[in-house]
Amino acid sequence: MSSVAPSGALTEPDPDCLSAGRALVEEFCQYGASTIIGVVGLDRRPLAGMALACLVLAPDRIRVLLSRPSNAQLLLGLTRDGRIALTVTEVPTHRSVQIKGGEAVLLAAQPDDLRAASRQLRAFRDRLIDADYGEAFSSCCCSFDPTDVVAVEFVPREAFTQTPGPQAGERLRRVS
Amino acid sequence: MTTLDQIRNCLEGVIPAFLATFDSDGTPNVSEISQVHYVDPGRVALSYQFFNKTRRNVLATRMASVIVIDPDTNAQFRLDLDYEETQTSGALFEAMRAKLAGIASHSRMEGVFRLLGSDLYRVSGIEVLPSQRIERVRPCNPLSAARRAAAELCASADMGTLLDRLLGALDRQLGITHSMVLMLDRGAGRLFTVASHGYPTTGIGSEVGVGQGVIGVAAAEGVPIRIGHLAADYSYSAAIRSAAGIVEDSGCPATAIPYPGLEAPLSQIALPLRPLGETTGVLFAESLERNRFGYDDEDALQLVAESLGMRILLAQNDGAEAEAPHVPGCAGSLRMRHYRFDSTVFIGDAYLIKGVAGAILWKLVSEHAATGRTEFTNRELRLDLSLRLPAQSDNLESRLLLLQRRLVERGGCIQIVRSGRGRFRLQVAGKLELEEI
Repeated sequence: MSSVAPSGALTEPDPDCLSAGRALVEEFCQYGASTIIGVVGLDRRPLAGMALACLVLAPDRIRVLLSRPSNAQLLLGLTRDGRIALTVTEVPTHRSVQIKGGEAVLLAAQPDDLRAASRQLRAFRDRLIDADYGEAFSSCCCSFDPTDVVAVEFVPREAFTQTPGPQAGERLRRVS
Repeated sequence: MTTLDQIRNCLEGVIPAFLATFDSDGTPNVSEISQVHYVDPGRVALSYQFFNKTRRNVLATRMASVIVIDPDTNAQFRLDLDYEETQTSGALFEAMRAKLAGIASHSRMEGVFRLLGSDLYRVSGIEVLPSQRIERVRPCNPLSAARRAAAELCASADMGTLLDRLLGALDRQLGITHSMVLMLDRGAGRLFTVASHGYPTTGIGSEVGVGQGVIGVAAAEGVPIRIGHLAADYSYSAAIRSAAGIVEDSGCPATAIPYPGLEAPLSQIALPLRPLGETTGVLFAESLERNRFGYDDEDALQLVAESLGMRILLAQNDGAEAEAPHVPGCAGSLRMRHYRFDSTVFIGDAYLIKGVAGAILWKLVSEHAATGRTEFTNRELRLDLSLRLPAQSDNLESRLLLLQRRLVERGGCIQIVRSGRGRFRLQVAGKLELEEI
């Protein structure tokens, strides 16, 4: 498990910070997590969206899987402003990390994407059931239509702790 | 078009909401938030707990987008929000603070979730998001059930009977198995129980401090307070501890009447009685079921509480004569003790009552012992300065009801009964032996 803590001062992005953020995203998604995104809409208003799954492809590439019908406006917004915020939260602990990036591009989903979405949503569903959300709700909340899935890839630039508390929103730093 | 009223079940705080903002440069930010609170058909309030990036963004751009999810149906909605203002005290703030305490308890985030303010937003758009939904079957319509329960208040009966009927009707019509009515003693800053339903003991006369627990906060703020999870900050052990502090300082023997409420309720709701806009008491209900009371229940029960408040007000002019209780005969003398400090009254060695109700009883028994008098009027009590009744909203009827019910439970050979409009009768079956301390 990665050991990270928020730094006190806002500084220029650094590789360690990003590396810590990516590690947390991978760890949370592997065991089941809530994955949400924020973008700027075409009308220059903020837009919140829910993602199905998230994959860290490389140090400079994160791939987010979305249901197109639920995120139609959000995808349109990304075609004009490629900046994106991604927050991944572990359900029982509320540990949460936010990655901010840019240059987002919309891509077709691949078979590997669908397998990843199934795996991550199944883990998330189990977490929700463990957290007493009930089997019916948890299953519906984690269901998806494979024909609706699209992918968004972006370049991560900054990572922040988002775990509830006074330090939420501060940059991550690696703890030695 | 989807309205905010239609999606209130999403705003119970059961499922976290997802909030997106951006800063003045247009960089987006997204986070989970614990509470989106329904304010009115056009506005919601978000809990402000920390001065973090989200808050800085909102203050800079005054815009936000939030996704809310119905915990029963998995219906999902995206709301466009325009920030209006932040409130840091008052009714909305207290209602949100109580609910947040429940959410914090459920999420094991006590000590982290602390409300600093209620951020008010106008809802400028609601988008229905496609999702797989669960069919929801409501066990009853709270509004029609509340209407049937409130009909009990139309019957001609004395106040005590009305309260018992109403609480019974809440059980039959709304499935509310544990409830009580408490009246406000404004001068003492406490509420005292005058009727209860569903508990092993009645707890008549037990007290809660104003501002303590959901009952005390509802009375202090004059708004409904509702919690869907057990919350230590609002538990009755905390509320009772506070009320007990007053007792501990009084210097007389233990006088606390055990509070009858559930030891570990998962849902609680307190509705203020506010006839003519001034709080006089609280209708309270609780449950062992999590999130038992929703927005619709709150609205329906508040209507019942408003009818109840008016009915209690009218009871002051009600001439109904209650049936005289059977007063058993007593062998020997009836020893009564009165502590002047806080008007605590003991019968024998058993605590009976204190405060204004204690002072009233002592006046009655003193006059009875001296003159043999049995008939008394509400008016003379109101004119008696030694009783220290407040000049306005004296709640005399409630205090007499409390006294009457405590006597039924503990009085034995001493009872009081209404004998007509603004009149009542003291019934004593034995010889009084009074001691003043």
